[in-house]
Amino acid sequence: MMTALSQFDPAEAWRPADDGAWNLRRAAHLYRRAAFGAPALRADGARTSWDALQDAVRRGRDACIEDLLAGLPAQDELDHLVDAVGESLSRAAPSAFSQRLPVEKLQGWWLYRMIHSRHPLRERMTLFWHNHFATSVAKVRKLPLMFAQNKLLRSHALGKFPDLLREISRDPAMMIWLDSNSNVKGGPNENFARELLELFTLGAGNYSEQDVREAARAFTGWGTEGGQFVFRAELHDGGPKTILGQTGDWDGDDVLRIALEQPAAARWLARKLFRQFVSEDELPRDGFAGGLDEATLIEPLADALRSSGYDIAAAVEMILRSRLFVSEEAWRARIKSPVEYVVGLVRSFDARPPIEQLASAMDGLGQALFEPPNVKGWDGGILWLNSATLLARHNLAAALLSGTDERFAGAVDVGELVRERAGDDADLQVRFLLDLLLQGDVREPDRARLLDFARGQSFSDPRIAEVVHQIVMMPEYQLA
Amino acid sequence: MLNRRDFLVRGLKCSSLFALGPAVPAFVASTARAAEPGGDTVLVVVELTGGNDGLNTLVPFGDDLYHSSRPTLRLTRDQTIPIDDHVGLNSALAGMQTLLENGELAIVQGVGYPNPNRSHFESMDIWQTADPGRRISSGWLARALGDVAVRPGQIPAFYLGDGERPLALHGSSAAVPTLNPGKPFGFRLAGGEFYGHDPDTEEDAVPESDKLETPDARATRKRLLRELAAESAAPASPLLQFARRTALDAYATVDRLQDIMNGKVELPEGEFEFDGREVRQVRRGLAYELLLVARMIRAGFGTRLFYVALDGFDTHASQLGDHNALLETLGNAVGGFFQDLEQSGDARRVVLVTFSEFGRRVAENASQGTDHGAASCLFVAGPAVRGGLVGRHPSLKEADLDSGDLRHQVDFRQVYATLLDEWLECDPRRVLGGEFEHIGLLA
Repeated sequence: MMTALSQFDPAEAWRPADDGAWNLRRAAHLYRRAAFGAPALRADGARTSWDALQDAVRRGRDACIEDLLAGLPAQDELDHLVDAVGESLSRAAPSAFSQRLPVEKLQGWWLYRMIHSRHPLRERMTLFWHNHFATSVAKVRKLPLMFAQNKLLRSHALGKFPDLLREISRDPAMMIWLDSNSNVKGGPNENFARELLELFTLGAGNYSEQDVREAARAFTGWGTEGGQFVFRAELHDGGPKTILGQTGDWDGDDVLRIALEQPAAARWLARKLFRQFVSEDELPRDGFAGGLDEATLIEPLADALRSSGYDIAAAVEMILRSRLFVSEEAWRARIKSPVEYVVGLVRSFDARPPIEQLASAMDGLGQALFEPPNVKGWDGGILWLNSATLLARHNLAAALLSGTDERFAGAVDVGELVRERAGDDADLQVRFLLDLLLQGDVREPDRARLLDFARGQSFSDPRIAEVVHQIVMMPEYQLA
Repeated sequence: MLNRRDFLVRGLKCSSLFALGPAVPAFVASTARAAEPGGDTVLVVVELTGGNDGLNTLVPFGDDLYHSSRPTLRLTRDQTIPIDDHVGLNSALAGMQTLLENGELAIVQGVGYPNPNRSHFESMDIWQTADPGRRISSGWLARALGDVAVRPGQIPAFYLGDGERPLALHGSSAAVPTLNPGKPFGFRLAGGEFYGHDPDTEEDAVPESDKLETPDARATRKRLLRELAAESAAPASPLLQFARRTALDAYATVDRLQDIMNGKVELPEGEFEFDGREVRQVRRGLAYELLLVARMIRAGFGTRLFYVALDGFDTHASQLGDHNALLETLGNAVGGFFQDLEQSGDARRVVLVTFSEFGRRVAENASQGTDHGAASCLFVAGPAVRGGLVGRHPSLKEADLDSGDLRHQVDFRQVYATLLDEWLECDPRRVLGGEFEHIGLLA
């Protein structure tokens, strides 16, 4: 806890951690970051999230990481089915009354997928890319295109970044979102070119305004028609351009290539992956007091991206196996996003909430899927939490857990699940719940308070649900 | 270069904020911690729903064409608070007279946008998205929230009302909560789901589902929530400290809001209703909502944007009495609001702006009403405002009209751009997607 990230030796930081120290706490940490908590797989009738965690401890770290990277057996069949459902939901007609698109159907569909996926790391990364290439239905206004983009993000989620970038640059939802159709020879619209350099590949400060203008020219003629990518040669500016120091008759694909050749590109992506998987704490931009600056610590990860042709899975694996990942500095060093919070809670207790109701509640927590606030995506981090969003977490958790809120009636029976594992004794129940939800990251006086609370109430199931509610409202539980 | 948000985030990361003493709720610690000067200004947006008749709001009594177009609806000079020899405020707006006389009320004339849309639904969308092309469906205020500096953990914007949250606030990165004054329990810690509630206390503040919870159980639950979030001497990461502080803030905020919403208020006579059992104060309407806003501002909530609405401006028939009553409600509510703020010393950091989706046709119809029109006037109020008329009054000459409607001279996005840039200090180009000339609204 007391060693600052800036005191790390970068070479040490990225070496694989010792598998011998693997335990419940580390397993839960891995599943919080690389999944949405340990999966509650009821398919065989028995595996709760607790079983899954125990299982993970037994099998060891390497087996868990391999499963996370490759997904579990039978995921393809499930994918096929879930894709078909999503396809049909995305064609749902707007309400005749208000013209409002039924976005909650698609939102619910994705939440369902995150809850039940047999390849949760891929869903995490799909969400990561949704935030990286943030596109909102607010402007696209076509659910089938949002669905198609989601499918695209998923299919490349753990693939090679250049492939994903190539596809997303031709994605109809993205092209509507960033005005590609109005980017034509003689009248360029710089929207896509600018965000490509600023947000998708390099980051501010690594290109000039002239680069943006020239890149926009290279993308002229790229557009969309009837929900499909089209190249209109007559609207393309085929003349010479100079982009990031390279001169030629460049087109859009050349811009992507040139951008990815910049040293800043791998660093930009590495920084985002670092924030996603390791820590939201900011490192000093410049080394001071003999410490380490961000670039130095992150550079080995950027190098790995460069040398592997931007292999996302390899970079994620490098992070998950690293000493840095299991260091105290990475411990609960992120604020759970609303999606992580809700999906994690649902998975922990194998709840089955009506999914559209759940989707509709997400906006109050600050993260409506398919509706990121702007092309920068959700800022995340400490901005996830304020009085209103925390209250929304409180009220949604209460509604889900109590089983008596009409929206979520019968979604979960926490009492039964806890008694099954920990019997009727309040002390054992509290210990079980703290192991399941916080794995020891709890102050001793708090443990005692929870025990008092559990003992002091009448002996009934609502009391167990109430203890769970108190735990999932603890500040520690808001951190991942 | 750092923007304000980076500044706030970095400030937090440098953890100097954490050194500011024990777990004092942020609003008690006052606004001294705002990131930089101007960082605690507040904008209150008042939607006048239905299409406000600008001609009977700011009355051009000096124009013969006004009188000939409005044989039954016209107002004469002595039915106005004259501003010059040509125009005056409808005297139903007497509640705003003090603001006017103090130079704290700007009246922007002839506000609209090109190719005016006369559908309520579509024109309201246009004002709320600030996109006449209707390609963007997120709200302009929601987009602004990304740049408006708010102290960490504070609620950046509130909608007060009993309707659906307006499109203007849709699509922000920070969830914008709705405060329904008629349902003060809407913003409270849930709990009845577990226990129910004692029906003998706080009856009107508690939803049906809570009726079985005992006050004891509720108190125990709330106390434990706070204890589990309390800061302690044991070392904790900056992030955990932030989460604790925010949790304590949230619980304090909820209590404070409950107090504000349940507290006794002094309303003008007649603001009471009989529900069959007892006489109660009316806890709804624009005056009440603005009163709650004033109390929240006074209580030091770090909220920068408030949104309220007054419905009923779609005056197709028998307009005169109805419209005057609406303006009276508006004038009294806005006047009272700034009186409240003056008393608490907060008025200088508050600006209020009204808008409506369109004005109304110049000529009245056969039902002593007016149909959907185009340009209208709007108000910008507050001690920070440069008072008086802004722009020229639009011409009523037939040749100058657009299908019988007033033409705009000021694009509403100029008003938005001015307030975004000069009052909220956020980049209007990013929010509005283009450059709009500022107008002189602020002193």
